[in-house]
Amino acid sequence: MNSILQPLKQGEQYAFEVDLSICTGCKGCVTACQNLNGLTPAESWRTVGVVESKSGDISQTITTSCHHCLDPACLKGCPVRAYQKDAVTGIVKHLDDQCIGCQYCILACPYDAPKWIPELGIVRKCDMCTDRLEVGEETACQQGCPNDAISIVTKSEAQIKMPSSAMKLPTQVSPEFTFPSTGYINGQVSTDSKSLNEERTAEKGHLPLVLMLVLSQFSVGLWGLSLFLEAQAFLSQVSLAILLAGLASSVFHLGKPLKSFKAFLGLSSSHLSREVLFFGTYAPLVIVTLLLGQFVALEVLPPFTLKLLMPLRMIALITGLLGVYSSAKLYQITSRPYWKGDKALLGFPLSGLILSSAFALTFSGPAEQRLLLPIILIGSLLWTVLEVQRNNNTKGLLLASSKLMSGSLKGYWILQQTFLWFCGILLPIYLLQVEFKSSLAIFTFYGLLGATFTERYLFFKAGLGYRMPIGEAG
Amino acid sequence: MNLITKIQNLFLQTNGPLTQTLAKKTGPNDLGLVPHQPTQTTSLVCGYCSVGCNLQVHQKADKAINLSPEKTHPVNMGKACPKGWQALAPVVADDRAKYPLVKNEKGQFQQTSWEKALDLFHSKLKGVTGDNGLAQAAFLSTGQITTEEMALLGSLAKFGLGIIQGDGNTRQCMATSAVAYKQSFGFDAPPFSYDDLRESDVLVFIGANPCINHPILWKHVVQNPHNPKIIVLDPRNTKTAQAATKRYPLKAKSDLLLLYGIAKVLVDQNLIDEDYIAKNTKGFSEFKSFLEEIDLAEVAKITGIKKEDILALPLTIAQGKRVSFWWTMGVNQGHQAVLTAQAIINLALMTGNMGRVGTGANSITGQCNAMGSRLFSNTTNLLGGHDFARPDHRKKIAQILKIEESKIPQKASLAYDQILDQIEAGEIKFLWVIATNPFHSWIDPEKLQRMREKLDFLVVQDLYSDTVTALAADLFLPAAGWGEKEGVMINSERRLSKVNPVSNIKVQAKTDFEIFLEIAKKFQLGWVTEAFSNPEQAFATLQKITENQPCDISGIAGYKEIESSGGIQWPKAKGNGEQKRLFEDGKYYHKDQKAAFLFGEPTAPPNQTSDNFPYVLLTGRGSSTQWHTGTRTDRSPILKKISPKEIYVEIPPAQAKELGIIEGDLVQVASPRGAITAMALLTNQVKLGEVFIPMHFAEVNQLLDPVFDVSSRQPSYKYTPVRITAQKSL
Repeated sequence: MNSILQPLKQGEQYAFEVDLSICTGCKGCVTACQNLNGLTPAESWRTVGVVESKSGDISQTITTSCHHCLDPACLKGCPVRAYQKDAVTGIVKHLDDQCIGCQYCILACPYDAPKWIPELGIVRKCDMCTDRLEVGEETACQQGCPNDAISIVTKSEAQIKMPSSAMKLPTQVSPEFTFPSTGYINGQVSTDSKSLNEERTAEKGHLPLVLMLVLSQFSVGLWGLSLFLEAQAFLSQVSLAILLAGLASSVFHLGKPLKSFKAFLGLSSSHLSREVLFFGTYAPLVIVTLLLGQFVALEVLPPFTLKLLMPLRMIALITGLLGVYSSAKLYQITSRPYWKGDKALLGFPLSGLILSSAFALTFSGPAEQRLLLPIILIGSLLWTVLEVQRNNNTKGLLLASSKLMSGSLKGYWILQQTFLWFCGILLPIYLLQVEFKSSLAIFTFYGLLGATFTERYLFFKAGLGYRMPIGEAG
Repeated sequence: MNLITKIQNLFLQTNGPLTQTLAKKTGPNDLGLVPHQPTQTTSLVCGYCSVGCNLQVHQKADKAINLSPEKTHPVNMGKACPKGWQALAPVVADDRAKYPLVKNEKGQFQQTSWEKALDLFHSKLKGVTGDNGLAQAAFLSTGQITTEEMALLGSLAKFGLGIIQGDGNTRQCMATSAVAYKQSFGFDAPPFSYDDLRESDVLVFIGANPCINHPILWKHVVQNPHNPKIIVLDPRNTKTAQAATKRYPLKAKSDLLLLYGIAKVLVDQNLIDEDYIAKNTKGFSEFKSFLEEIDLAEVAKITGIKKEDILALPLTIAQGKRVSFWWTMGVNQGHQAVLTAQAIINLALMTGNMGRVGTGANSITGQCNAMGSRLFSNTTNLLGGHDFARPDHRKKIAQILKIEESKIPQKASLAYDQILDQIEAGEIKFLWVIATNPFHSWIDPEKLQRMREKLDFLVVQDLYSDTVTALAADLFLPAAGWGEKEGVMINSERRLSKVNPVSNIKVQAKTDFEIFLEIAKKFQLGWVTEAFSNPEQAFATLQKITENQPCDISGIAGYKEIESSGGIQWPKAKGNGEQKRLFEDGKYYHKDQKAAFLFGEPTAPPNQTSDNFPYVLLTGRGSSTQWHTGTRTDRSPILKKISPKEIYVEIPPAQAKELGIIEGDLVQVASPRGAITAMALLTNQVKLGEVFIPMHFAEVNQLLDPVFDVSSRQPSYKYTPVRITAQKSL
């Protein structure tokens, strides 16, 4: 391929290797990446972090970029197949014109390699300066390093998988998660070293996703209830309205909404594609079933088609549920500890069920059944309190998440509790004492709705991702 | 695009406009693959620090679009620090000052024309000028403009405008080295070449952190093929200290005593070069008897360095064949800074580590053109390293500039702090500040505020009208920056390099050179325009001035030779080649050609720690991505992103634990002069009893006492007793 690189043998790939003993953390690599790749003014695909050595007297600076993993999480998660692992070089490339700007790769990558470029509405990342390697030039970061601490080496799959070659850095995801190829040599740090100058701040809130998730789950819940309750027409119509609002808001999340039609391409590996597919099927099915009766009444369709109504409704429900499952799954399979376990997998369907039952009870059910509402509320309250308890007793990123909840995100946590307590319990009790009115249940419903939106916002804000050490102080 | 591609793109688009924005092509002049398709390049020396890296600016139809370090330049060999890579950002920043500004009655800046601005300058300066032609005025300049501009300013102000008091921000960084060299060698002459970093077998760094502050110098150390021993004397465990083969974490400002301790051991164990001492130096016997008084046990106690470690250091030096000593601000900014620098020079002299490859007592300079300022600013020295007090020197300069000899003051200007004193005392009423930000950077910012109240008129000349200093101005003159003008800068190893215009000035700014010339015209000073008609001609004038001086550059064939050679190290007299390394013949610049051993009683810093203020605060550069007061580096989006955002204080973890402070806590740092709030950063880069705050945040200087070295008048930024209190316990 070129003079400075060893030719690749079968099963080998190119990889970064950093000699930590000569990295001084000057950040020349960070700026060289910006200059030599023609990136936007604040963009760089490299970062430099600091970790304290075991002995405590070396502040080990660590330059990092994409690790061109054997099993890249970005690639698997991408709904439009915008990531490719080059069959020959092993370089993980991002196809900028294919990207729809969903940013799921940013949530999926445990090393913070893909960078969101708001000016362009897409994600970009390191391609190991493939074009430079092809003509025998050094990568931008190599050109930027005064001490030649960065090299490009060849590594076999077996070498990358060898536990001894794994990065020994603090707060890291297990290397088996993606098998990163970067080698850090001659360092004096270990997995229990202290990551310096690294105060974790909240992640992005992704408001459109908050709306989309809560509303789609609410919609599926209502749809399910509508199959069994008397007020079927009303509930199913509301279900559709909410769903459309949710799906519409999800488009605002995308950097390139016009390309969103590509989002099903990653079906074979991306839960996001599956989510798109399921909700993309659920929505028309809901519409069709709602219109079917009308069409028959208008004699556009023959009466026997009504027989299809129930099966279609059931199919819609199943696709809706699968959509909710995919939503939950796509977060749960990332490496973010906060999203692990039942946080999304149970939390998403449950919130749909809670909101829809509260809605049904409030707006369509018999008045006396509304007494069930406080039970739902107390359940929700208990859930939130238990969760705080649970996170406080943890280590690492989960602990950092719960610290955020009691730190910079405390306001949102209090808001969530306020919704539940005030709107949900205190206000109705007070009003009950004044005069029992069926409309009072509305407050309970709004309390739950507000609390769910806040909870989902916190889901993103406190859902800290793993990443390479950072730290700005030199 | 054919239909098939269009359909394919609907599914998988591997190319397109977004991909193309990152497409690179092979650029001209060996650039290799680069973005934005430049059509030509221009090389120029970087305008940040004194290393003097050469940068190749990529241009497209006269527009500067990008840059990369010059691949073959001997100083940086294709490398640059982050500031260098981002050197264009501050020039093309949207918030450049766009026109002259004048304060109205409401205290707000108002746009004005150059004509009116210069008229105002003229009338205000006239207003404070007496019948004797002397103005109650001063200028504060910089190490950041070109040599020609410095010389023009110094000549115009002192010989033309009657502004005989002037100093530069170089007082804050290099005054100590300048005085130390001048007294020891007979001329302010850093003797080294960067090659010495690559050729030494023992490198001793004292109060220097090149890993972060001069990354490209450190590159030379990394490439040293002799597996050198690297000794670092620094109170902080800096990145450079961490890279040392042996580090000496001495207590803050005990450096002078430690250096004397080392000298004593060298003498006692007869590890000195008697031959070199006898042939090339003077004052050694006095120094020797002075050292007799030094008690190693006490040195160990005061410096906090174990006696066996103190004993080991002279051995390492003696075993080295080519030992070089390197210092910078840790030494220069102290209460006995000149003596400390001279103690280092003494070590080099007594071990014969001078004038040979890989040796030297070497001061690493701070700013890109501090050396230009030292030689040509016409403040402390008469132009070209001459002496205001010497009639023959005054006569020579008067003849070259075609002015009356009487126009040349017979004394050097007052130093920075003394000028400020005079302003406060009401003696100086007009101040002209050029390309520096004293309201942030000076050790006593409160004094600047008091001074502002006393001043009748403050003129600030800079790229940006939003610096704290510019905001205090009555008149603001927008200046062109690096990359918009032509001239010469002189780096740490005395290398003259060119800056060149690579970017058209898009605002109403003028180069400092043009501004000075227009002021000269306003004051009808014909000789100025004659001697300094344009930068290249001004350079020729300076060449003539240096004839027969140690810094003789008369042998350089103008700008052309500087550009084609990749820079020239002074001296280069007529008929001689350039001199990479000074004193190879053992001849120094004193009349007797001998270097002097200079020394003095070490004293404790004037402000001692107490129960109330138990910790020592050190300040300095905090990162490689920030420069000085951040007026330029803050304008690069990427530098800003990777730099610390808020003021922080480095505290050793053990000390923080005692104080009940955890990482990220807001703490109060208080000195007898004031208190500030900073974020706690727990790190063993500082040791027990000491804390560190970077200088890039304006607040920190409020804490410091205005303590100065007596002979260099350089402020001591490295020793302030403070108290640390957790904000929550206040």
